[in-house]
Amino acid sequence: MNQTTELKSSANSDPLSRDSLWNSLSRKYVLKSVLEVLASTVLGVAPILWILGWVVKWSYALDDYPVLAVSCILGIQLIWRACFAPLNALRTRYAVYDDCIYHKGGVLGRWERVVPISRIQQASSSSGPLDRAMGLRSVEVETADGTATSIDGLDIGVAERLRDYVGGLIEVPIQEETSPSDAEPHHSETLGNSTSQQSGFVHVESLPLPQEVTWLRFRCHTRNIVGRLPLSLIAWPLAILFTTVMFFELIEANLQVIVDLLGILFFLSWGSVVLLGLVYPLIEVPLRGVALRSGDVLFKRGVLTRSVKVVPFSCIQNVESNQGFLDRRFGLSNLSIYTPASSTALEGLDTATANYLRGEILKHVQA
Amino acid sequence: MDQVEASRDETSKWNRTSPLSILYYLGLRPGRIFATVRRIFLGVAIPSGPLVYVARDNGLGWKWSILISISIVFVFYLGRVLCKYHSFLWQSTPESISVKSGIFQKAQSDIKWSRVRAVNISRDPLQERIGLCSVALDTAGSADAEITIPNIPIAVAQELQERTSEEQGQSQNKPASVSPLVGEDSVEDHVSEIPTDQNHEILFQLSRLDLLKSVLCSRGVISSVVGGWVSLGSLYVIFRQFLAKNSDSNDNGIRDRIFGWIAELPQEAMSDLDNLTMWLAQGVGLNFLESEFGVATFLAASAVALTLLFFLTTTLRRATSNYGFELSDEESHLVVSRGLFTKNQTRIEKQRFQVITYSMTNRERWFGRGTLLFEQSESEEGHSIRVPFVDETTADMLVQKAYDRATKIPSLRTKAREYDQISIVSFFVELTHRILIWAPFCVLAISTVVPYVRQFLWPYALVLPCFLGLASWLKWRKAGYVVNEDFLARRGGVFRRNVRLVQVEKVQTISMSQNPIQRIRDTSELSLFYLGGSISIPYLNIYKANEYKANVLERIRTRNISWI
Repeated sequence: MNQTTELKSSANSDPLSRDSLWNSLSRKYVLKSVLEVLASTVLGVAPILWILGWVVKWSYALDDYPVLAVSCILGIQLIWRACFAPLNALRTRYAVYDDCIYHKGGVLGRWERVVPISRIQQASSSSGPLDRAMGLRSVEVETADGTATSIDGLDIGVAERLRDYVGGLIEVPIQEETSPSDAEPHHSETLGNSTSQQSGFVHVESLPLPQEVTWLRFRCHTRNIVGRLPLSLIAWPLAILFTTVMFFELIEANLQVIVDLLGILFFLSWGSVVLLGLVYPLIEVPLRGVALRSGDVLFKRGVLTRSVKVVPFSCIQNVESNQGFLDRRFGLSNLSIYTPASSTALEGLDTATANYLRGEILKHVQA
Repeated sequence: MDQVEASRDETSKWNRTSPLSILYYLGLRPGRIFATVRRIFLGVAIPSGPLVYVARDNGLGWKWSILISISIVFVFYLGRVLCKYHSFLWQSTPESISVKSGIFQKAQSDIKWSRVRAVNISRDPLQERIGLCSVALDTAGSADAEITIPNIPIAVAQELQERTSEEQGQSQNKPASVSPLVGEDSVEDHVSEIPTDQNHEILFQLSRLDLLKSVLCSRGVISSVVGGWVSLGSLYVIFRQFLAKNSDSNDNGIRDRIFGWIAELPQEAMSDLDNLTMWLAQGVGLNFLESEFGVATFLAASAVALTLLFFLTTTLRRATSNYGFELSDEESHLVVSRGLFTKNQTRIEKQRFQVITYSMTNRERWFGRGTLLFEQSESEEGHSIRVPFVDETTADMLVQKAYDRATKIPSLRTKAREYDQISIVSFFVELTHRILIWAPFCVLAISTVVPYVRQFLWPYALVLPCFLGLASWLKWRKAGYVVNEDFLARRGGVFRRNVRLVQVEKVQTISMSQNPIQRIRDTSELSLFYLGGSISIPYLNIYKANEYKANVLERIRTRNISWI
C-alpha cells in the first residue's frame, strides 16, 4: 500500500501509524451489505421509480420509454452499489483506544472520524431485521455537537461489549475540581488518565461481556391504541384519499380499468393502514424497555430496527414528566430525559413507575 | 387515601407565581406593544371572526354580533389564562428546582442546581414597580429543556441566581462568595436595581448614537419590511379566497379550482382598491379621494406609512432591547444588562462559551463595526451574549477578557496576518464546479421558464463565468484559518465577513476525508465539530492535517477542563 496516500501516514507519535491495530468488521457484513443493496432496491427504490415512470407515461400518453429509462437507471445503480458495498465493507476499519474511537473507510475516496471518548454523550446499539438474521449489530456514539458516528456490522458480542465499555467511560461534563487558588483555570494541565501518555489499544473482544439486566417492560394499555385512533382513522385515510385523487387528476385518459384498480387499491390500503395502526401498539409497546444500572439507564425500543441506548446519569441535564389529557384518564405518564446530545422520551409508563424512575434518576444525577 | 394525602403534602410545598402573571399570560406586557397587539389579534380577533359570521347570519346586527362574539372568545381566553396561571407551580429544594405547568398537557420539569448553566433575569417597568421579575434558567440540554418562571419576587430570583453560582462555585472548589443576606426585609433594597456583584468591571457600553447606528445596520430590517408586505398580501389572499369569494368563477376541473384564482388576483385587487377608496370618499367623507391625483397620493402615502410601520416593528424592538447595553466582567462570569422598558440581565460563565463569532454585515463595514456573539449552547438567544456594534479592537479586547489567561488568541481583525490561506486548489475546484455545473443549470432554468431571455443567452454565457470567477476568487482571498495549540479560527465571507473562534478543548468530533483527486494530490479536508457547528478546512496538506488532528487530540487528552 502506498504510504503517502494513507490518511495515517504522518510520522508523528500517533499510535495509529501501525496498521495492525485496526479492527476489521465482521465478515458477515460483506454479505449483509450486498443483501442490503438488493433489499433496498427491491423494496424502496424500484417501486418508487417504477410508479414515477408509470405516472409520466400515463399522464403524457407516451410509450414505454419512461419505464424503460427508469429500469436502466435502476439496473446501473444496482450494479454500481452492489459492486461498491462489499469493497466498502472490507475497507471499513475501527479502533478503540481508552481515550478515542477511530473509524475509517472509503473505496475511492477516504474518510476518517475520531471521537474522543470524553466527548461522548450517548452510546447505543441497534440492529435491523437483516442484522438480526445474520447476527450483526451496529454501535452508534453521539456527541454534544449533534453528530453521531455509527460503526455498522459488528458481531453481537463485540457490539455489546463496545457499547457498554463506551457507556461506562462517559464522564461527568462539569467543571473538573482544581486547586482552590484557581487563578489559571485554562491552564490546569492535569493528566486525564494515567495511560494518556501512551494511549492503550483496547481489545474489544477481551472486554467483559455486559451482565444481563432486568428490563422494566412496558405494558400495552388501551391508551396506546386510543391515542392512535385519530391518526389511523382520519389522518392516514385522508392522506391516502388525497394521493388517490391526485392520481385521478393526473390520469387524463380516465380508463375504467385504472379507475377500478385505484378504487380497490384505495380501500385495500385504507383497510390495511387502519388495521396496522391499531395492531401496531400491541407489537411495539411490549418491545420497549427501561433498565436502571449503577451508572446509567438503558432504553430499548423498536420493532424492525431494535436499539438499546445507554444514557449515563452524569449526562442527564433535566428530567421532565408530562401527562396529556388522555394519559391522565388512563393513569399514565410520559418521561423525557434531556442530555446535551438529545432527548429521550419514555411514553406510556404507569404514573407510579414514572415517578419512581424520575426519583431514581434525579437521585443519581449528582452535583 | 395515602396517595391523596401525599399529593396534598406535595402541593403544600409548591409556590404559585404572582397574580401579575395573569397579565403576562394575557400578553399585556409593557414595552412590547407589537407582541401584545399580535397576541390579542391571534388570540381574540381571529377566533371571533367565524363567530361574527354565524351571529350575523342568524339575524343579529353587525355591532351586536361583533360585541357578542368577541366577548365570548374573550371569556374563553381569560378562562384559559386563569387556568394557566392556576396550574403553573414551582418549587426549589436544596438540590433542584421544579416547575409544574399545563392545563391539559401537564408537565413537570426538574433541574438539578448543578446543571443550571445560565440565569437570565428580566424586568418590565411594571414588574419593577412591584418588585417582581421573570427568570429563565438554561441547562446544557437540548434547546427546549429550559425553564421560565414569570413574575416572582426579585429577592427569590436573586436567591436562585446565588444558588446557581454557589453550585458552580462548589464545583470549582472556591470559597462561597459573600452573599448579602436575602430575607423578607431586603426586598425593597433590590427593587430599583437588578442585583449585581460589587467587584465588576465594565467592559463595553453602547452609546445612544451607536445604538441608533447599530439599529440601522442590523440584519433583518429589509426582510422585516418585505415580510410585512408579504404577510399583508397573504392576509388579503385569505380574505379574497375564503371570505369574499366570487361565485362566477369559471369551473374547469380541479386544476382551475386550485390555481385559477391566481390569474384573477391582480384585477380583483385593483377593483378592491377602487372600492376601498370609493368607500372612504363617500362613506367616511374624505373628499380629496374623489380626484385621481388625490387617490394616487393617498395610496402612495399609505404604502410609505405601512413600510415605516413594518420597519418600526423590528427597529423599535432592537432599539429598546439593546438600550443601555452594558457588558461587564465579574471574575468568572460575563454579565450583560440591557433594555429600556424591559430590563434584561444575562450571566454566563466564561468557561461555558463554545464558540465566539464576530460578523460584519455590509452596512456595518461602512462604520467599521461588527457584532460579537458569544454562544454557550444551541438554546435560544436569551442565553447567549450578542454584543452589537463593536469595532475590531474592542472585540479583540473582549475576547481576551473572556479567556483571560489563554495565550494565543487569534485576532478577530479581518486583515490579521496570522491567518493561513486556504489552498488555491479550492478556488479552482469551486470555479470549475460553478462554471461547469451551476452556470449552465441556471442559464437553462431561466431560459426555460422565461423564453424571452433566450435572445440574451450569449452575452449571459460570456458574462457569467467572469462574474463567477471574480466571486470565487474573492471568496478564496477572504477565507483563512488558524489552528494553534489553544484555538481554532476560521474566517470567511465576501460581503458579510465573519470570524469564528473555538477553543481547542471544545472540539467534539474530528473528521478527515479525501476524495480520489485529493488522494492523488495528498490533500484532505479536515472538519472539526463543536457544539453548534463545525470548522472545516478544505484541501489541507495531509501531513498538516494529521499534525493538527494529533495536536487537538493531545489537547483534549491532557487538558482536563470542562468542555461544556
